[in-house]
Amino acid sequence: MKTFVRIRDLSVKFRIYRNPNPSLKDLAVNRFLGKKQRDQYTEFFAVNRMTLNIESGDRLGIIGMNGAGKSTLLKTIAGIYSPHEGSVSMNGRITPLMELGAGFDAEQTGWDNIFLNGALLGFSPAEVEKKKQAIAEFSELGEFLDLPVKYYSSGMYGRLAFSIATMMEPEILLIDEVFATGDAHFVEKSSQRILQLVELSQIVIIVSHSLEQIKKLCNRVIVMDKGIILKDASPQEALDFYTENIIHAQHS
Amino acid sequence: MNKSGQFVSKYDAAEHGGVFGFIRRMFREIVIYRYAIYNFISSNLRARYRRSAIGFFWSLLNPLFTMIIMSVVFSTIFRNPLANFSIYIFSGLLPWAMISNSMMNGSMSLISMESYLKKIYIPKVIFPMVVVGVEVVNFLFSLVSMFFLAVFLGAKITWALAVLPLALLVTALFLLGLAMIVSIVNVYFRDLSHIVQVVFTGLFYLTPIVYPLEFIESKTLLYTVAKLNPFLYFVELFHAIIYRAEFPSLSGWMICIGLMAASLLFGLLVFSSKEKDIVYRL
Repeated sequence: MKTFVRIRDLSVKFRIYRNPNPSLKDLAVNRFLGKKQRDQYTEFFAVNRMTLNIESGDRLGIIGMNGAGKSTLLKTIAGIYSPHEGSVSMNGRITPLMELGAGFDAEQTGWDNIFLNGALLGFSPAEVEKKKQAIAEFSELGEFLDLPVKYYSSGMYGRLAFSIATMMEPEILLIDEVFATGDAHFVEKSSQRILQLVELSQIVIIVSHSLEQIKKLCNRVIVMDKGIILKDASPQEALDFYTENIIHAQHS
Repeated sequence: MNKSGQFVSKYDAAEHGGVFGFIRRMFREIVIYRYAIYNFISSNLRARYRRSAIGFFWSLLNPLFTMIIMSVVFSTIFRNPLANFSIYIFSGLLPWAMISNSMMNGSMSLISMESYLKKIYIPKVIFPMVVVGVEVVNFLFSLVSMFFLAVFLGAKITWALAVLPLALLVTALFLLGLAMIVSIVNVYFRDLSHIVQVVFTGLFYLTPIVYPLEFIESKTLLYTVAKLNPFLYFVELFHAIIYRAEFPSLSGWMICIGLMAASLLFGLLVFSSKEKDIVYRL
């Protein structure tokens, strides 16, 4: 079966509540005083009735200004946000390369976090066991892996997170502003790894503000603004469109 | 995952799948995330006793000292207490710790995992499960360690103990249902956890733990209120098995199993209908 991601009429909306944390106490008091209690909020669509087919072989770049809905779209594909309207269906295992290190437990050692992160990605201890040596080597953390990750520098933290996240052969790879962290040597090494993963994946979806990176990795690019797709084209065409219509429009 | 090892998934706003869809998915995800559940439980237990020189022994000594203090205090207050009053306290205090901790930590279980829930996909239902799982393991540790002392003080080892695992299971599932409810409600009303804390401090005295149920005169208002407290019936299961060394009565079992079914049903209803919304409210 072919790998695909199909997005149909997808809407994801956020509400900004006037009172984001109502309390039961307020509820009871207002009920008692006979005040009408209504949730007051403003609503906006982060993704607005979007339809998009991504097929095997696509390396899709998503560009747009801050708040265009790029990351929300990616998180919806990853299953973090649920659609309010429409649907996302897919065939293939998702490998998220975003929010690296989000699943870390600061009190546990590097080794334990390798297993915890693997488990959170849905891998069994046996599967992680096979990969752990490769992860350890790639991270170059050596004996530091025996320490709780709370003692790691941010560079070390990033190195471990990156090494774990990129250990499995992806089918659908989601990349959100992931850049290599750490020293120059590790940056070089992890850029290579990202290239390699993009090569291996059936489908890659990249959100990035680096037009360079998009140009280098993608064969299709969409430009998003206010939750809709403005342009869906070849990288060159989409990047030109983006620079002319969005970036210049902002400045003029 | 189908046979070819492919992952097919669909998120559709129009398809709710209802409670049954949710339950099917829940069981599937428990299998996939079983190691994550195990890891959360064990790290939670380790964190609880980490900063002490004798580490895990605190999990054994803590209830022991609590039991000794309670026995001394309440046998002084009540002058003429039950025979083996310390065993009575012990057999009620253990399930009570499980109950009140499950509810208090359960109400915090989703909001304290905000950083996970907003950044990676993770089935939300595992967090109330972890809370109850931790309390069950804690219960077992305390039980084993204190059992030697209880036997020394005169507790009888009888066949009644054979149904202890069943009582533990029924109680744990009852608590899971409630933990699912309070975890969700607390996302919308953040003061619930404070309310839970106050309520359970009160319920501790309403539940016969430091005094026997017979101390409350029947046909009084207080007696009626005490009987309305659902947790009483679960504590009574453990009183019967450990303190009175007898099989709990059939009616006792039926009430607990009924409460368990109601709590699970309601918990699953609440969780399945709100599960997808909470990430927007964290």
